[in-house]
Amino acid sequence: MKVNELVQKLELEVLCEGESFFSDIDGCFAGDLLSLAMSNVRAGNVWITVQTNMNILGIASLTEASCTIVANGMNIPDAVIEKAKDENICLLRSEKGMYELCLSVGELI
Amino acid sequence: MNSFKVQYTIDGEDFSVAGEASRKLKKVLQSLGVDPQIIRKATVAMYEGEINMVIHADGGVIDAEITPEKIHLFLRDKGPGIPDIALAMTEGFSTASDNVRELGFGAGMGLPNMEKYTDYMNIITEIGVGTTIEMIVNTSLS
Ligand SMILES: Nc1ncnc2c1ncn2[C@@H]1O[C@H](COP(=O)(O)OP(=O)(O)OP(=O)(O)O)[C@@H](O)[C@H]1O
Ligand SMILES: [Mg+2]
Repeated sequence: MKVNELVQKLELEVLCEGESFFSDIDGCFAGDLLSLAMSNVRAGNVWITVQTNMNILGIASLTEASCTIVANGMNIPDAVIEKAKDENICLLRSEKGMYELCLSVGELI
Repeated sequence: MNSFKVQYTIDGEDFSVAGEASRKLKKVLQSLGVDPQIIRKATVAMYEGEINMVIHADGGVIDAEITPEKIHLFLRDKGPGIPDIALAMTEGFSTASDNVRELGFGAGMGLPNMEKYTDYMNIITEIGVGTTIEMIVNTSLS
């Protein structure tokens, strides 16, 4: 499944398509501790988190996550969205919580 | 591939650009055609070290030397130093402030990750003077 297909199926809000919007998804990791995410998010993974600060972009780009989904409709600072656009990082958001998101992503990918 | 040297200055004030040096190193390694698995190991280790320099030590300097055999990283800061290295290396140990924890740091996994993802790691530290961390990731697939 590709990121854009996941977006449609889960009705995710697209804050920035980034360069991986039409690429394949391979696996998923959910978690908010950045050093855990750093060592566990694999290239192509969906990363689900409730963190919204600038540092999520560093993790997303260094791990080559296919997309980052911010759960629970958390407020994301404008500067972070702007930076995602500058860096071409796929940033998505959902009103659903992590558990629900994980279940849905698990069923779909 | 000849040997390649690069230096990054790490700003200890600006959280929003933390990780920038690791991203730059990653681009350098990619352009040199280094194996993606090796790049991952080196960038995870460097990122953790870079973030530690920002949140625990007020910034510093990172020197990277890339040869056909290895990626050699030197992280130098003039921060407070690490009183007990063995304790700091323990998974889950962290002195991160509440502010920093709110940002998702402070799992106490950075140093253990650095050791896990590198082939060699050595910490030299002096209280009140600073910390130097040397890390090597072998690139030759032996
Ligand atoms: N460069 C440094 N200067 C001074 N102290 C450091 C430095 N790097 C690490 N430390 C100390 O070692 C502890 C453990 O570091 P480690 O990177 O494992 O965890 P953390 O940074 O607290 O959390 P995490 O990396 O999981 O976000 C830190 O909390 C800090 O007390
Ligand atoms: Mg750390």
